[in-house]
Amino acid sequence: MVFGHGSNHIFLVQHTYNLTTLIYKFDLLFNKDMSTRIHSSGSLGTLIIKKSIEVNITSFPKTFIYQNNQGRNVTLATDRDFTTPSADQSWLFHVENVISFSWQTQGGKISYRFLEEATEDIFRFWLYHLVLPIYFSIAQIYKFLHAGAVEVDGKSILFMAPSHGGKSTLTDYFLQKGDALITDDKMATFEKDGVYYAVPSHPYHRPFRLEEVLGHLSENPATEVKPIHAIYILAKSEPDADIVIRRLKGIEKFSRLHEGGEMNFSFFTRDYVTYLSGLANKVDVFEIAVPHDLERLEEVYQAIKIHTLALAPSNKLL
Amino acid sequence: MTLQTHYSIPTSIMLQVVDDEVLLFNSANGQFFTINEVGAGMWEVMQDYTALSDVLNELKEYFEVPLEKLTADLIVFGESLEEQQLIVCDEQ
Repeated sequence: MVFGHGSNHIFLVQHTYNLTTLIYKFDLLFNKDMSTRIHSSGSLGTLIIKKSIEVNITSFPKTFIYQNNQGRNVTLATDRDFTTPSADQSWLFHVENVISFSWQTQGGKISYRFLEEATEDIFRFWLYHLVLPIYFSIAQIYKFLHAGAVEVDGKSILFMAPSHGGKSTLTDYFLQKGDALITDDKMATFEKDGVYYAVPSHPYHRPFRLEEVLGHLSENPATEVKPIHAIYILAKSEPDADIVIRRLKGIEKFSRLHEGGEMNFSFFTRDYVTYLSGLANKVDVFEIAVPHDLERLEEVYQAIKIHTLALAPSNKLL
Repeated sequence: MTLQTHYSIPTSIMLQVVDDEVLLFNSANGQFFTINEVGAGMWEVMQDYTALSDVLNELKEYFEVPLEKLTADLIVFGESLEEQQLIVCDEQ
């Protein structure tokens, strides 16, 4: 993937595989002067990514999150109190000395400003991995789960686990076996007519988790939004333990999903919890005991594949 | 806690049902608790009132148990809800 140049705009074009410019099923239009919009079929909308000199951090007095991320001081701030975000509320995602992004809740446009340590690759890292999930969450377009996900024989399956719990390793193994990448780490989902869908995020995978690195470009990214077929929650077990898959129910299922919540902002907690309850009632969730032994990944892979292909879908239109 | 206790339910408290299990979620602190079928019935009635005496008057129409036992169970349930900050009590 490279940045192609038009007469008065810059847009994302694909050269390495047959896929239109879809990130989280949105066309990302990198545009300097807003004069041209490009739409491609099958996407959910267009999001303008505009380079600007207008991003001024002093316009965002309400700091919501301040944390160290990727070795950087990162701030999420806004221009008013944190209640239910209004459509014209302005937001700032600021990476100290690197880059500032700003947008309005439902403005359809993200402006950014490079700071002294910014590069094109670092810009795309922050945009794809953090800013877009935050944007889509605040705009209430998607709900996110902390999960890796792949498409196995057309079925979307998610892997959830705590950080360093093996999601990326298992996701990477499925990719090596030829299954399609849905997401590396942040699973965008939405509900429509009682069905919960998984949205392909971006075609990059980071099995190594180096700071501010976009990751490998997947040769086989999933391209279609599909119902979530099953969620597997990874539980580390002894290296010689049996690989056991156990269906979760009720409070245990809800609590495990809740632990894997992502982008669960305080002003949306009630909405997010209601969403998770609905998801828990609709989608099959399993715990899989994964032996702590890389030599046994093939066994884990086969166990999940056999299990998921034999599973009748519960998350479907009634 | 007595039948004269008044209470309020914080807006942060949510009731959710997952696979026929009922849970109370406190969005203010992220804690959640399961309640059994009897507790769910009591909670449903409690949402319509602010005094335990009023709750008891309605519950006794539905539960075929001696009034003394129902009263004791309601007070124990109310105390556990208060302890877990799922209701806020005001002795009057």
